[in-house]
Amino acid sequence: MTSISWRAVDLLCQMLEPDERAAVRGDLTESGETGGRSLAGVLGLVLRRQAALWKVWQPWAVLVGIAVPLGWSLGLVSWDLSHRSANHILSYARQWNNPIIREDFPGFAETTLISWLSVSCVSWISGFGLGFMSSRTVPINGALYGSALLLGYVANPHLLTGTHYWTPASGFTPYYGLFLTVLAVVVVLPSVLGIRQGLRLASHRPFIQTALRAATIGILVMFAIRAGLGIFWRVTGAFTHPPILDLLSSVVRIGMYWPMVYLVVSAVARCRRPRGAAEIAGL
Amino acid sequence: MLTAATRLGDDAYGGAIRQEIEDATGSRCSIGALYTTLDRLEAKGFVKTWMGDPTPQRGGRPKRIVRVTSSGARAAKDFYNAVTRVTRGVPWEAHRVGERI
Repeated sequence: MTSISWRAVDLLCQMLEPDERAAVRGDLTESGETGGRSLAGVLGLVLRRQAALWKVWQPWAVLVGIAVPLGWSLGLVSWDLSHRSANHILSYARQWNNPIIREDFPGFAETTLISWLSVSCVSWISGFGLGFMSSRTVPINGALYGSALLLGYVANPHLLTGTHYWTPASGFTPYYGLFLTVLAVVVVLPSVLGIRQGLRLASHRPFIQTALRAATIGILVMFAIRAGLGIFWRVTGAFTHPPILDLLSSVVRIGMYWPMVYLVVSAVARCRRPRGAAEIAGL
Repeated sequence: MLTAATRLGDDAYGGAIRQEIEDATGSRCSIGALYTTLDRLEAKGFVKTWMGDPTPQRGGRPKRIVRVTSSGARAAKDFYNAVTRVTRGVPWEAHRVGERI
């Protein structure tokens, strides 16, 4: 119990600034307090520090603009995508001996991979926005993003109305195995990687920070406008897309694949950068 | 906190101030209350803090050293005078421990 509570203390201390972390951990060591009391003390300090960060508007903007809406939308979209992918993959596997099905498979694979890539990129951008624009409040905003994502699954209209087309013939275990794998690969992993990258760049030079902030906000605003216009035209029953919607869709598509470009460019830059002595020595 | 830091003088740092407060008041002082109050006092210019050298008793971790500034000492004195003034004549003022009992 003691070692568990001390491990929890160390984990919580990670949420403090490096200097404060060292001072607090030193005070606790010196005072010889029990693990439980130390845990309560550090928890109180972390909560006070986190509460203080929410006195300005920026974390609230990230919460309202990124964490909740994008988490919830991604929950809805990825539930549908994972569900369809798992169902179709299992159907193809079951009927693989049928030549017509085999012939149809490349087209399905292409469409599915593009959908996975698109959702992965949006997940990465959401994670990046969280990490980059609210680096110090990322524990709370990240947890709320995860909760909104979960709510998107649980409060899914298909699930609530019972209209999802899960076929029992697929089998419970393979279906949910595939469903969760797609979800983890397409949403959870890119989101976590995006948060990590965002946190890494949060301490960059002001010029780069401003440029990246503008790019992230621009892409997210375009997503919102495109989604809003799409819903508006669907609700009003206008089936012909106005030209502005098509133009926005093209721009959003370019913005959506921004992480791919960014990752390739940063990988090339890393390869070209002269390596330091410590790096060469493998340190 | 200003009183504890002043009393400790050169030995004033986070853990020692906390101990001093607990000894004087007889109640617990949480680490959260200590460090957030220190930050507020530092923001007001009443104390100055910096990181000291690491010591073996603290597992090789440094202390957050605290010094009361002259404006901090003045603020503490003003506060003490105000409390003394406004409590003059009230029953608990007349029966302070060690006085007139």
